[in-house]
Amino acid sequence: MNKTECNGACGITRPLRNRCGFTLIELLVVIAIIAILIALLVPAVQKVRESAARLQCGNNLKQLGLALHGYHDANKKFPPGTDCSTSGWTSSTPNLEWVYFFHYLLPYFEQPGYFQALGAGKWTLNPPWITGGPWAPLYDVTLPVLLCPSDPGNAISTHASNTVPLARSNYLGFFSGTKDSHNWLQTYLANQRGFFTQGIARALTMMQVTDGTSNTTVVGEYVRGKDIADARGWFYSNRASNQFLYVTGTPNTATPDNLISFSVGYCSTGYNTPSQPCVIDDSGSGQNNFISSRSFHSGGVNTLFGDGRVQFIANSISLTTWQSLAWVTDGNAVGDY
Amino acid sequence: MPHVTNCRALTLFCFFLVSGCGESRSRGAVSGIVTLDDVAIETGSISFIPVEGTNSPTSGAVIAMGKYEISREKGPIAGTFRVEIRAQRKTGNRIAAGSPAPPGTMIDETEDAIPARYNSESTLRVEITTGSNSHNFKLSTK
Repeated sequence: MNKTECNGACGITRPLRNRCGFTLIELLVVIAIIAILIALLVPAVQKVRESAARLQCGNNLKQLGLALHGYHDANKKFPPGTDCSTSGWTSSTPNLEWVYFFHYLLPYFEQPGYFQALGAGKWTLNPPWITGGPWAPLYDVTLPVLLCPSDPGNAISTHASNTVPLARSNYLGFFSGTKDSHNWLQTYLANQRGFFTQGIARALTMMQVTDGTSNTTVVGEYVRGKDIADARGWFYSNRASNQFLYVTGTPNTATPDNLISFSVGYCSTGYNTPSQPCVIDDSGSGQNNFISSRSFHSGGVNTLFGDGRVQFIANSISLTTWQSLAWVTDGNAVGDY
Repeated sequence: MPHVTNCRALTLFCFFLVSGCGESRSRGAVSGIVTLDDVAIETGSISFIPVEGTNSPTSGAVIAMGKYEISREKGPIAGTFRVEIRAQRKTGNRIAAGSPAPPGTMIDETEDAIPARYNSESTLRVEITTGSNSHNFKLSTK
């Protein structure tokens, strides 16, 4: 009885062996097939994970684009790159070097609390590295819209700010010229006007972007640095890797970012890595510093254009095209990208 | 006849292998030695900037103990490049660090160790080809 049932279930009659089951070869074949399927699946899952993160990063940029346009609708011009005119840290009281275009956009990406804590547009605080105390309400507050999930770096930085931890960003505005002194002194070449520059008076209207907003890059991706003391992505100072992003080099270029060194934070020991290459340059108190757009995505960076669209730009884009996109009045025909 | 089919399959397979390299195919690896007045540059940077007419991204590397090396996947695409080489040296003075260092922070003052004709107003030009390139630079302050 038992034997008949077994033969029926297996569907094969084996007259020589009174046994039901699989042979070793059959089992091995099945295991091998399963192994191959898993091997195919695992890299696919990893890729989906990264591509989801990349989409999230692009979506954040889109939010910034909408906020910029919301600001333009209400104020008839885009926000200034930073408040300071020139050589900000020696002159005015309070020192408004820290004010970045993000701070103008806070109400437009639904951060009214943050906006209120900073003075709601009437900026009155001195920078966090001079007076730490009044910044206390913002300690540890992160802004998810400014953070790209592909980047393993810290969301806040304690850098050089009297131990005041403040939010950092994976997105920085493209500034005029190709190095810090170009913005401090506003001495960039005539055809190197970027979307952002230092100084309230130099905020652009849409009409002033004569190349057309759809041909102009506005905000690019950058990395958040190696650890909590790393200054990269900490958007409170008039320096490359803090507020200033340039098109000196193409996305994710092997050309190292050129950073100031003082004390700790910028390109300290161990901060120069293949994905975030950097070198120290203190000459002229950092006037030659520059950075290039960087990300942890494979093959390129997300970039926000003036018309509010987000495009993934390949690392292989030619320098000429990359710079023509960033200069707002150069009049150059833009090649393929 | 089966033999011929195998051979065809193999050829096709080889073709896929070769064509699969994609983006890095036309890029070149670059390496070399940089000296200033016959002394190796301890730390600095070198960048390769495409001149007009060369459709390439930028590339470069950190110079350590006089040597630099750029892998092929991050290297420049074949063409003519302007080369900028930077390094600093201490002047011996101490100066205020400036923001965002806390007020009163002092640092060593540094200046460019390499003349402007090798960086901001560089006249150095090199041809980069697909494959491996070796370019040594003997700079002089005179």
